[in-house]
Amino acid sequence: MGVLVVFGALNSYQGAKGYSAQFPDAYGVAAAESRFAPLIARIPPGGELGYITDLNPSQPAYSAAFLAAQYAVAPRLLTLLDGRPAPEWAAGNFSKPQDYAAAGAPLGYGVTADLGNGVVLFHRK
Amino acid sequence: MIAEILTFAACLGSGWFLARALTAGAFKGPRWSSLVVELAAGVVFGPGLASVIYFALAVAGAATRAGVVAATAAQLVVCAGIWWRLTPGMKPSPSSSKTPAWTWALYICAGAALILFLLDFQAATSANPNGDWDAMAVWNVRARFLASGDLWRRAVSPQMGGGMAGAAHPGYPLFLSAFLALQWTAAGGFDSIVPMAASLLFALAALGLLGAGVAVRKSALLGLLASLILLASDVFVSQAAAQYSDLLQGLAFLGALVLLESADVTPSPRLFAAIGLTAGLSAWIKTRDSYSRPQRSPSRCGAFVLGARFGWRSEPRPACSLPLP
Repeated sequence: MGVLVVFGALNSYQGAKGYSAQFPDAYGVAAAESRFAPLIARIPPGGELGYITDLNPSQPAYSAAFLAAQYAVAPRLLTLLDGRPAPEWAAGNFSKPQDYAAAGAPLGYGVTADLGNGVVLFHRK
Repeated sequence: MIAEILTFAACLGSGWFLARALTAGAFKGPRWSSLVVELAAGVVFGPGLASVIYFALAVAGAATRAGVVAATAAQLVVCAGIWWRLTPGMKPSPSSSKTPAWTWALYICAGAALILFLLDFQAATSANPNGDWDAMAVWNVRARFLASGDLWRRAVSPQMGGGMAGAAHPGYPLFLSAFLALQWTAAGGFDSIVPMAASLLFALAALGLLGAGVAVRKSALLGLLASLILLASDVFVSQAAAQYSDLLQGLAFLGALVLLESADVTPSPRLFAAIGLTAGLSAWIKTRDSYSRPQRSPSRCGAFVLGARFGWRSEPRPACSLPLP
């Protein structure tokens, strides 16, 4: 039995090693922390940020991107812009380069700074 | 970093003092096995009480570095005082010396499996230092809010997780998140080593408690086999690096069972207090669907513990009956 356990543990280890090599930062948290670092330097910890993205809420990547961004900017609070009073600032989280101003305008926001890697700081107009 | 280590150690130390005071003399097996049970119970008691105190400090607006260090030191002193006053003198239990000749081979296998477990943990943690999905979405992010002074309300706000259903569970209890927040407040930052260390600690405590819990009632050999079976579980091993609260809850359930089993042999008010504390803290770890059905998880936990202890069995269901909710 002891030998079987060792082989089972070895099998688990090989599986974990393979998964880790194939999917480093599986949920994009480390990437989000790196991408959002310039943004959190500009917003105080108690700040509340609207959330603007090009991802469709019906896509599985939407919630993963939102939650990774929330983790990276915490304790700043990300809020969805769905009818609630709009926060003064908004964080843009985009999957590809595009016209960021056009993405923020319908929601009442203008671009304050393009912080690179798809992260944009917006300010309410 | 030093404050982080000191508060972490103080939480564990206070837990061990309390576990020792409440369970001394309860176990008849070899001293090493009762020591492991005490240490594992202490992993529930110390961090659990510290998380409750931390949450009270946060609500009172006193969750500062100085406040946290003072509260943790006070917890350590009080628990040490309880240990000093309450722990009875004990006679050493006679340990059975008859063990099969080949037991050494099992110890070698256990050592090898433990090394592989640690390598597995290291591989998973180096790839995902912030844990798996729920760690990012629920437990660790709430700890970040709790560790940020007056912003603690965000950890229980429906707006957390963007208000997306099932995304962040703001209704979950705060054992794990508040314990992490305590260390982060002491450290003055969000060092990812804290949830890693906590997750590893809970996994090792569960592993040790299972083996020692069987050893104190049956034999060291059976305890070793129980730990080996757990080490062979891929689910257990993968959960160790996930930084979820599920392993912690499993540890609390198991602790309550081990203590309840011992109360059958050596009942005492102190031991029943330990059982109540363990089962009570398990309800502070995780309650599924606590918004809509707040009574279900704690009651299920209690029923599970009592049912397992007293061997209660439900009546056999007719073949055509529907599963109960």
